[in-house]
Amino acid sequence: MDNEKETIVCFCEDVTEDEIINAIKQGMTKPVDIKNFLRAGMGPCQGRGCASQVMRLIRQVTGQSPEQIKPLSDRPPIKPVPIGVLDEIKRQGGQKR
Amino acid sequence: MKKSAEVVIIGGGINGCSIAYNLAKAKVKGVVLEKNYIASGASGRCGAMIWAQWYEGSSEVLAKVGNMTLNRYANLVEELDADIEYTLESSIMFVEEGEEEEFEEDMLELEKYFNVRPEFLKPEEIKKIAPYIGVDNLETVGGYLQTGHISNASANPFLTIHALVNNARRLGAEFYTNTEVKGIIVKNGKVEGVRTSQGDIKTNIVVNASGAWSADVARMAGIKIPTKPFGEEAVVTEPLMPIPYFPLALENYGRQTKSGQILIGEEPLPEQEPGYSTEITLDFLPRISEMLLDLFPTFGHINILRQWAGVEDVTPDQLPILGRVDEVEGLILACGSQSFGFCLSQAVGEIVADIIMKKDKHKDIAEALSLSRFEKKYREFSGRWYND
Repeated sequence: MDNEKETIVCFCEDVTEDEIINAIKQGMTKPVDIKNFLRAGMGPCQGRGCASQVMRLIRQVTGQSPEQIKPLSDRPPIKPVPIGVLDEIKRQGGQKR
Repeated sequence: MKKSAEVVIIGGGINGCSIAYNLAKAKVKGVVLEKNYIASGASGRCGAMIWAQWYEGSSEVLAKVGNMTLNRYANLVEELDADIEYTLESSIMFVEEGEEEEFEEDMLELEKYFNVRPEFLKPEEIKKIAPYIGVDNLETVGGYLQTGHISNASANPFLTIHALVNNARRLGAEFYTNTEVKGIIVKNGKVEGVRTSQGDIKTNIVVNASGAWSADVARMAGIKIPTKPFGEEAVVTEPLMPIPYFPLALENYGRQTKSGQILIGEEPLPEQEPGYSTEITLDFLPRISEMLLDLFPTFGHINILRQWAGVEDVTPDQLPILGRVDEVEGLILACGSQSFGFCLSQAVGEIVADIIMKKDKHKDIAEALSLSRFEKKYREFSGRWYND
């Protein structure tokens, strides 16, 4: 078995290093492209596990410097929060617009 | 970047990419300019519903557009030779007390124009087939069950756009991302080129497929169009086991994605102001959570993973603006898709490509959806919709 090809980068969505390298070679040179097309970073951990690895691979394949690579946008609620907890906020008056 | 092109399409969203693909199929090589990345606007932030329920103000002509897009989507996997996660959805559209007649009329139109007649289920029947739905929270007299028909489908927007881009590229279209349009060069009432952050491109045909930014782009050519940007927000939950029937009620839209996540958003609020912001608002999460718990009372422990916002372009009559502009030769509009942009895109691609190639196969549609319709009908909107 080819270890490198089978290395999983995004555990939540089962995305391998090989898939990511291929996508970068096809021109998806931003973390957001990799997220959109391969779902790396869309799972329960929201990219906390894989985002830095995806950026490393982009750097390695394209030769860009770290400053050139725009990280993924943070999407609330940052950590998964149960619907019931958020509903409680609403019923207690919650945030005003 | 290229120095000249047959057609320049502004906007790398689903409409721009669909137009580029349809042109490329007819051997017209277009260039797509995208200021950010492909699908960075509304296309990459949408619910990706493909449904015939956008028939507000329905007519024969609009039904033709609807049927065109539904049928094209149904055949798109084969045509593009790509998995775009095209799925026939099963959902229950709930009818509130007092809205029976309105819905009955809608259903008759659905049958007339789209040849589908959803089955009406009483609350007790819905509870039996979908015990997870909070029927008692909905003040409902029942709901219409839609299942297994192309009038209620969905696809993965990223995979769909990606497949369109790949196919268009293979046929000769070119895509430039990180390329912002700075101006449209018009001389003697004719388009002569486009000024971008990466240099100028000569062209005689410019397509404005820039979604929420369409009024700004049109103004570059000296044209005022009545589109306004409106933000919308949505959330996804963690992946769940398959939910057989998705409830549509309480002004929500939504579906379960292929990965099992519940994607849900709400219709824009009536008091909402136009704006380009894709910033999320703090009170949306609690509000949508309350809605989720009304729809699915047992989901209190399910996690919400992500909240995001997108901007869509809205027109006074909630219909898109397609086709030529009398004042500027070579300027073609493909904007004002509201919240149906993803759904309508396959028809928009075909119709706009047809207009560019002057085939006039869809002349009736182009006429009904042209910019000039506002001159006749919507003078009353002028102050609100055309201001700078």
